[in-house]
Amino acid sequence: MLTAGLKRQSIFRGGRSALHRRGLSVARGFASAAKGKSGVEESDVVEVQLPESSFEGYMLDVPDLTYKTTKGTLLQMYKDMIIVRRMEMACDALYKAKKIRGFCHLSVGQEAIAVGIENAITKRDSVITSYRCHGFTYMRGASVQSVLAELMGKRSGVSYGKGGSMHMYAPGFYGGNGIVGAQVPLGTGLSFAHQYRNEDACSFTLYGDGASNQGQVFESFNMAKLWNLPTVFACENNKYGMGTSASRSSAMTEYFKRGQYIPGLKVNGMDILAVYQASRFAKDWCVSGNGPLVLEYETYRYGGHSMSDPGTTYRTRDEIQHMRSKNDPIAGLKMHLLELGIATEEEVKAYDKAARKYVDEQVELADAAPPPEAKLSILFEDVYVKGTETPTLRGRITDDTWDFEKQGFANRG
Amino acid sequence: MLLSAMLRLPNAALRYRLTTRCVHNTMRILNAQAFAMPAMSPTMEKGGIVEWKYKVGDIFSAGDVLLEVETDKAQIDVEALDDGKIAKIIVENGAKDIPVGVTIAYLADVNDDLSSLKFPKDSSSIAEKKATPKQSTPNKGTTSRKETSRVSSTDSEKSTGIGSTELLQKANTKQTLLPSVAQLLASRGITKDEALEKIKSSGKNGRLLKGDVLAYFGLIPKESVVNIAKYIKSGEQLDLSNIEFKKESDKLVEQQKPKENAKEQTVRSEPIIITEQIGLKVPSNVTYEQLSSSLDSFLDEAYHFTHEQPLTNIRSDFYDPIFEHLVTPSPTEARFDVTYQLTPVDTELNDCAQNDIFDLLSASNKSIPTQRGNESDTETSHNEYILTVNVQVNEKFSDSKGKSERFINYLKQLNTV
Repeated sequence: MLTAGLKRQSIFRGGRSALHRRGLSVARGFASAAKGKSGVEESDVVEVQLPESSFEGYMLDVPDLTYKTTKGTLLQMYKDMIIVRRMEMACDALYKAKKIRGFCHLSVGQEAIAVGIENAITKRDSVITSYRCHGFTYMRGASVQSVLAELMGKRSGVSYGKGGSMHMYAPGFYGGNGIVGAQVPLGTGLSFAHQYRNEDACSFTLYGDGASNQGQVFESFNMAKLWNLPTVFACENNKYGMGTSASRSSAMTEYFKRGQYIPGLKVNGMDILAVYQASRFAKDWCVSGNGPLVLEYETYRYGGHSMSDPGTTYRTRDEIQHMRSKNDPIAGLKMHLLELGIATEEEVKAYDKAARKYVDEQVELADAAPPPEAKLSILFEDVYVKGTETPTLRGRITDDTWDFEKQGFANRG
Repeated sequence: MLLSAMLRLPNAALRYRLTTRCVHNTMRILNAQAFAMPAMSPTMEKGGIVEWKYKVGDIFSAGDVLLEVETDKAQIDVEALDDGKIAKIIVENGAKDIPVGVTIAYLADVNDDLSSLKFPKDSSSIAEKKATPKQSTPNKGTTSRKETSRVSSTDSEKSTGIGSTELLQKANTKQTLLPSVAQLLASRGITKDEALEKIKSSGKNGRLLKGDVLAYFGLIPKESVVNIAKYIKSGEQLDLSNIEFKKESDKLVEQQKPKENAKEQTVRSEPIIITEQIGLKVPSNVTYEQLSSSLDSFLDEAYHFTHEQPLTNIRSDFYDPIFEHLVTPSPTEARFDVTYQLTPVDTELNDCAQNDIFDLLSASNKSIPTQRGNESDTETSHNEYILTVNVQVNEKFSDSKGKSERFINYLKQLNTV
């Protein structure tokens, strides 16, 4: 007999369909209802005990190490994580089969962050991140197929095959950003929008340990604190920048203290339960008017920085294998699922296989999808929201000026 | 609620749900997975297998090095993405130049039984991969044919474009008018649409030019528009068709050519020389040396005198000293050069200490009436000389000629013959 959580089973997030959001909001309903109200069976609520080492605070009291959540939420997080991992592995295989070309940064090993954050926030919150964005795109509502199709340059891709690995967007997700650190000021702007509209929402602005030394990060810190913006500056510290370890590139590797006048929290990013709790805490912190917060998710990527980096020139293979076997977020949550009696070993294996099969199917569908038509109007179609275009869009030279009405170049015969 | 959720699922998802149910009952549903030659870099086309680190049946975990691959640049470890087991190795150690994408092994799940494992039909075996290039060659042929046909079509376009009727084409109705054109049309009271419909354009891509409008109004002849368009068209591409290789026999011709050129140059740069012959009647007591030295000083004086004299009319209403200063070329520069020859008509010479030419000449004039009494004396007491003056005019300055002429006129006062 399957548990209630399993019955709601939707291993994959339903792409752009409404279902996936619905599923989540149900889970959220459970979470809030768990605090005493009726409607939730007692057996669905589980208590999670985090180890002491999960958090480290800076100018703040760390979140509670014990919290209550539902079995459904934990199961959903597990399913999300295995889908993200499978998707990233499919990307790796497709890249090595030369079906994905160009830039491709994978987040194998860092799944807990994208999944943990998404399960802790609502659709009204906004998320913006760096180029390592596949997992976030999927978690914010894009389907696996559309992400893979985007990577392969297909028309059915999430950015219509024009963005590629670094430029994927979804509702409430302001994209992968190709420029290192450039998303941080943008995320600060997003939180300014939330504040301006008087919304109970915050923006999660993610950046890597490499980007944390960018000047614009500190400019954003200043402005966010000055205006008391609901920004969660979330540093994904995967310990290595592009070919260099954090300690070789940063004068201070305690990234959660980088805010100086902004409180900070260091989180074990390899434990999704800690990520989930910290993300909920961060959202609460910002929404309740405490201003910005600097989070540091300490995580690890198993692969290289990008597909052209073998990832073993600046660290040992033993180190990677050690992290894989001891600290893997998926294996960690699996242990919790088994311990808490949410799923059996058999069931978990079934999920794994199902996720693999699902992603394999999506790879085939994405691969079979047609590439964009070879027509020039495609180049200009997403510059403006449809119906709000200016009459013409200026090009480099007058001959490149595009006429939206004519659907052709304005000054060409 | 479950039902409604299911109804909203897309088709693929529905299928998936059903299969997951099956997964629960029968664990062994996946076939062996084909493991293809990976592209370890974007430019890698083929690679060799240095060594498999696992044997058939060995279990490996994610991140382990499965094999070592050799590319044209380096040897790279290939890591396993996932836990698994080697089911079958197709391409053994030491194989080289395996194209990317060719199946080199089959992998299975950790728990799979190798004996009952299904191997999928390989879609990318070596044999097929090798066959594909042959198939692609006819494709290449067609593409190149297409290219050639395209080239020929552009050629034909070009040839038709040079015809004068084709130079004037219908104006592009989507253009933004040039300011000069817009102004011209507005002054004539013609709307843009009307103009674009009626006036033929000679500009690129049907752009209406000012010349087109002027020709349309009859302000300039139509042919000039065509001629200009033709000229511009001819300059659009560099025509190298009439260029020939240099021949051996041409060398001789070329050697002669510079000389001709030099001659031409000398002819062209030949200065203006004004020659004036002045006859001089000098008393016989004046020696040749005396005359020539006094002539020398006189010419020198005249030379300086003419140079200093301004040519412009000072009394003119239009005279402005500052403007004159700016306009007149450097006053220190010589406007002409003087050479002269003094040739005696009669070689008889006398000693005389007098140096001044006027004294000599006036003396001779004075002497004439006094000596008129005995004409035979006067006849013999006069020596005649011919002074040939060559004035080389400096062509650099506009006032050189005038100054030279003035100099000559000045010298003419000497003429006593």
